[in-house]
Amino acid sequence: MEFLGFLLDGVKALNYQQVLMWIIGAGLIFLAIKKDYEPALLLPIGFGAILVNIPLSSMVDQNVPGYGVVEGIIDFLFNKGIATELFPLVLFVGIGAMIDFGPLLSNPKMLFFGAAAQFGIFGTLLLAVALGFDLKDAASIGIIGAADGPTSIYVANFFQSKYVGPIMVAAYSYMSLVPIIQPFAIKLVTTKKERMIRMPYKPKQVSKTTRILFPIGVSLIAGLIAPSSLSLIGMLMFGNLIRESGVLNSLSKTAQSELANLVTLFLGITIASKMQAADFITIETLVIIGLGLVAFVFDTVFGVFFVKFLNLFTKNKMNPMVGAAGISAFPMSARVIHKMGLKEDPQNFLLMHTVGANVAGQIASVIAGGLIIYLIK
Amino acid sequence: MFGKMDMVDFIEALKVMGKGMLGIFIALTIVYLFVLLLTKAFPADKENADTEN
Repeated sequence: MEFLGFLLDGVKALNYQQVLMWIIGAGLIFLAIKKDYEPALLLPIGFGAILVNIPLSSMVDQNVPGYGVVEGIIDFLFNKGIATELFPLVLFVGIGAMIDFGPLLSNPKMLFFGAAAQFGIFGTLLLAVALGFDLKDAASIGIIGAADGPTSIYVANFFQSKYVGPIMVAAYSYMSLVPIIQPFAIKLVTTKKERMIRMPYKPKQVSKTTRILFPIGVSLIAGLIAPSSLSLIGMLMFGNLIRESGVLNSLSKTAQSELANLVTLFLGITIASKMQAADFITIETLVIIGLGLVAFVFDTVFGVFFVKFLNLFTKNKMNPMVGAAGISAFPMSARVIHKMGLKEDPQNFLLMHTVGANVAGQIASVIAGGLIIYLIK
Repeated sequence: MFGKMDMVDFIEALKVMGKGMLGIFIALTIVYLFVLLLTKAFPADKENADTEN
């Protein structure tokens, strides 16, 4: 039987950490299929986590005696798609094509709600530094608070953080858990009376010229103020310009569906490259997962407090919950908070306000990502 | 390294936090003014307007 020993090389190389990663991968697949939590990403990440943790897996780079280093497909995709920032940036074209900035253009005050809800990024950065992470790793962890997967990947990869794997898992997991995290955090800091505040919506017409000039203008403004955010915001606004131009409907549809789907497909499984047991099963991973939750709670709470602060000076009070919709998790956050409003008062329709704040959060999170890259040398 | 806070990094993080939040608010204030300008300069008319409902 000894001559068949080569069939056991994989089994002999297996360790308990790899088995633990299989369980984590299976857990992510379970959440994707059974709970419908961000299935487009958690399922590929989960399966990828299993594939890269099979001993001697040819999915990742392996040193094969007699051949040297043989490149695995997942490491290849990581080097070409994430290390070069290609996947997150191309995904932004699709996201830009999906977003209708109409509710924001008809009520631009919502931009400030988007700005306030980025506090989670910086609050978490500070907390991560206090816990002993170096500044670049702390910034990469803080950006989980952007509630925006591609921005998190972009920033963490820019700083060449060794925690890209846990950061991605935390970012996408918590985005899918927005319906649980945000109501919990909002209820902690608001009263029932505040949650029942009605905000009448007066629909305003937005001209086509405004819709076309908006993505061009935002790119110019962001580019001049925070040049390092331009690759993110430029691609986002490029997608939106395609959508609003009215002459590229076919490209707009492709960007929204085929392009976004294709990149998402590869993005998920490629992230698994950074989920190999030796790097992933660490105490730091647990701390990062915890900090990710803190980031989302900070975003939500600070967004609420910002509106409460504004209410001190305004006659027509705003519902503080709308401030929490300023995070970038679009459109989930807008829907969740709208439903919370309806639950408190079945006649309280907050949706158009929350959508406005939510798309503002998309712009603000990208600018925040660019500013962090610019400010941390 | 995780586990021990570096005071220099902490002070730098405080600065990044202050500058970052300020930077976002300034950038979005300019975007806000730009949107006001756009909606004044190009008001919606019946031909090419799109009502938000």
